[in-house]
Amino acid sequence: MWYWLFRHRLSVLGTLLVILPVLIMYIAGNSRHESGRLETAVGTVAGWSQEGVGEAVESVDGFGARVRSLFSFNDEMSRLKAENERLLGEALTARRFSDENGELRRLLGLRESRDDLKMMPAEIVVRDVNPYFRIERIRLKVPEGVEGARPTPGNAVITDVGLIGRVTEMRGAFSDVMLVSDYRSRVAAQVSGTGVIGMVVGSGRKAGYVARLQVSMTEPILQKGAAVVTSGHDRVFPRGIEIGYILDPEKRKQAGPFMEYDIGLAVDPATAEIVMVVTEMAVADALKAFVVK
Amino acid sequence: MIRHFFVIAVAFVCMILQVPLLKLLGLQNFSIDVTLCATIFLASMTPGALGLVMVAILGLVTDFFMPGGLAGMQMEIQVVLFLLARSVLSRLQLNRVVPLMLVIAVSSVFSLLMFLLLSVVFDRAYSYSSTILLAGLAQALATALFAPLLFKLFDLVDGRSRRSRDPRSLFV
Repeated sequence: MWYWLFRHRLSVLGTLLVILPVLIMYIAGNSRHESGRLETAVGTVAGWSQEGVGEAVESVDGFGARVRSLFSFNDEMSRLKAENERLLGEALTARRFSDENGELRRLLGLRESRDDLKMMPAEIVVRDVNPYFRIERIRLKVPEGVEGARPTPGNAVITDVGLIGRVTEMRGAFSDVMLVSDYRSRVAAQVSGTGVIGMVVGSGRKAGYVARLQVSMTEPILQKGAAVVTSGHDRVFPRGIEIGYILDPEKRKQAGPFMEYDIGLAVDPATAEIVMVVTEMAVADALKAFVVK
Repeated sequence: MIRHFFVIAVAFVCMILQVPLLKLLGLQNFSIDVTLCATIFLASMTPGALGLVMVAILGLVTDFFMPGGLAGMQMEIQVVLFLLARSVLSRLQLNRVVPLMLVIAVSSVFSLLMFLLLSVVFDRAYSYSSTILLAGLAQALATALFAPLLFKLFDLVDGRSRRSRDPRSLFV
């Protein structure tokens, strides 16, 4: 038997390695939310390495620019340029701190304005790495002294400007966030001030951060620039978070029983650095009171 | 065996470097399938059982590395691709740029079709989107364009780890 196995090792291995991923896919497809130990470990390693390499490439680029500038002039000019660059660097660092400070202040404002939500900050580590999904990987910043504050799949991810997406998977300190623009994303929405309710469906486009709003055919034509906010009907996203705005009502089109409008999304994830994960909604606490024990 | 690990390690480093480097070059809307290039390279250099196992490991690593995908999908695609490529590449030498780019382009399209098929079967959240098809084709094109460079890199690593140069190397 061993001889037979050795002789046909490629066929045997080939068959095994074709069947094994099918089983993994079947299991993963049925339990997509919480990762196993192996997935968590590999995901954490990937997250850390992606974050580290991203930072390293940025610093190498900055260093390269400095080296080029130093060799392009004579000594005095080089000294002055170096001095100038140092000052510029300091100014840029100050500006970066100022921007970061501003972003944190805005997030703090968001936290105070939405006291019905329990939120925790997170940092975006990786942006789109494949052409199929609009997923970002974030690293959670757990506040000191906060025990058990851990996001779960389905938690909304927001900024002070609006909705970014929702957590789909947890891998240790890292989480994968499905953006609103992912073609699989669905968000229950309403058009602000009109009472029109609908569903925001991701477009899946990589260039151009847009989605589509599906509303009933019987609804009146929506105004250009009308704000689209979460309705909270899906019990995933808290009510009243801005998703985007209607782009051009003239370009609306029929999609099955719905009328579809293109919407520009409020938040461009490329510009966001720090986000807030809504770990719990106050309404969830209220609903727990009605649970029959 | 160690040289295969070197190739996988280089592929992994390329995957990690891809996003920041493409962003640096202003090509953030493109992506390159490094895993596929490594699979075709291993299929041409090591078409045996060892190559198959290495490709399966590479696929599994890619699955965990890429957020959003279904675990096992890349592993399946790379294994099937390896088994098909090894029979095709036994009749075709990848020692010139144009045939290499053609093979990579065709493999990328095949990989895209397999992705769509497996998504339909196993991914409950899947729904057809023409955008995905276009993005996959754009990736196939970008991968084909960058494939000679990646092959040169893999060839270099493979040759170094064997302490001798492969006479079939690219650009000869």
